[in-house]
Amino acid sequence: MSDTIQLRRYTPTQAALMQKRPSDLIQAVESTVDAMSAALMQSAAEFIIQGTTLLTSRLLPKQQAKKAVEHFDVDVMVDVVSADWAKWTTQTKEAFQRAYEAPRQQTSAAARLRVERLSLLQAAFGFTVQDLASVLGITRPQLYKWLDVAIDVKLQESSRVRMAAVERIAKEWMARSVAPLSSVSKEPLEAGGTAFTLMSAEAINDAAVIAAFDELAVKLQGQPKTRSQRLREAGFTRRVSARSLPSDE
Amino acid sequence: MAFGDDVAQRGWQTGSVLLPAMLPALAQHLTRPGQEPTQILEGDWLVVVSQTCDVVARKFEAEPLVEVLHCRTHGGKPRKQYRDLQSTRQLDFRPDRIAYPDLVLTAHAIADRYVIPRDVLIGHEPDAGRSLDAAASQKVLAWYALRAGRPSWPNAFCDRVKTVREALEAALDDLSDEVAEVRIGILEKDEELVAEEPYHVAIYFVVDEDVWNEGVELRQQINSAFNKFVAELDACDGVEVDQELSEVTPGNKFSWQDTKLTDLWDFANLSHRD
Repeated sequence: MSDTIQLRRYTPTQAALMQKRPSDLIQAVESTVDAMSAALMQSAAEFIIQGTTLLTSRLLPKQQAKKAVEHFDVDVMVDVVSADWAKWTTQTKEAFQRAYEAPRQQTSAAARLRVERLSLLQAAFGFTVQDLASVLGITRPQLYKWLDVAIDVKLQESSRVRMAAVERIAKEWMARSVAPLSSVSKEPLEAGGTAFTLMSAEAINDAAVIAAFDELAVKLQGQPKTRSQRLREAGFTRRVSARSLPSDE
Repeated sequence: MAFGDDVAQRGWQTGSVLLPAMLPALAQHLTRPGQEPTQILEGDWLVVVSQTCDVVARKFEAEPLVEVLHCRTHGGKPRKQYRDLQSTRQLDFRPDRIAYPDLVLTAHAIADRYVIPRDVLIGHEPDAGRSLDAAASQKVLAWYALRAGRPSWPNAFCDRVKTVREALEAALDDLSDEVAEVRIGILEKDEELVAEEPYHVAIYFVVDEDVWNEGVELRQQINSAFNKFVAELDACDGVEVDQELSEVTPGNKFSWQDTKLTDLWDFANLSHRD
């Protein structure tokens, strides 16, 4: 075994405990405390009865024997045991409550700006996260990290350059259409290929992409109306949902 | 004149309020077995919550009873956890924003609901000075519909998601139903999983077709909300978001099949554990 790697061994009980959710552990202790209190009371009562019987028969006259065991204060002993566990559960609950209520992380201005820029690209293109990741030249899990405002990601120079290039062509698309590109991004182009393949290429050819956008913007306008568009044009309206009623705040 | 026509002519409908003069005749119907008679105080509203079509049903025998809701005055603003259908048990709401701009009423869906004989309505008109406005009437009916129709999510799932509830609410703050709808598919939707097993979910923000096609700014807001919502839910202990399936999608591309496999996201679904 390597000197730098420490072998960990857990007993089955320890392993089970390690996997337990903290709330389950707290609940288990709380119910044990309740069970213990009842068990202690029972044990104490039995002790008194047994003690009285023993002393009476062996050593002392009956009255003296009974008085001796009655000095054993059951309530005090129960309180001492249950108080310690109760204190632990209270303090542990409070600690976890504070942890849950704390914001995941304070967000930085850089992270917020990064996510805002990415949201605009999502809005411009309407791509799935996978497709946008391909255009940005990164993996899907990486893009999800970039989209998480709580995570401070330091973009490499190549990623910054790529993102700037994609933002440039996003502006070109938005200048030609308010609809997102996604519905026509994989349509075959007259010059061959698709807009998506052009945008996902290792090096983005701005001129080729812009020419593709010109072609696709025209195509988009010529798309047949959807069923819901035809219904609306015929005068059908939707029911207002309850959640769209004015808020009572 | 048909029974129902008489009721309709007097103006009875969803949201009508019973006059104080009617209360003595109704006392026996506002009493539950083994309990003291319900006290209807001066500022309380006893509101008709049956659907209007049932209130004015032509034949008495078709609808012999009418549902009424005992609404009490709530001092102050509507409570966050009880307003806007956040809870299916208790509702704080504004009955009439124009006539009573500062009035907030509160009621429990079942404890404050009573049924009275419909023929009581024949001898009276509704309170001319008090009634629920259209929005309030719709809200109350939607509240009952939500209680009866919401999908049942596993208790273990609700307990886990409640830890990030505030963050999820914040993510959806600016998202109106008319613009986009949040839907969730829960792989283990009928199972109470143990702590070691995560729930696997897919999230969809289904966007109104017009917004999708014509509104870049709104789309950006929706994408921003989606990113926050998914990040917070995925960070939740015991819940894993399928990032490959989850997406923002236009409504005309989200099929009937897809709606059958997913539930409408509703914070009220989490409240039943309170």
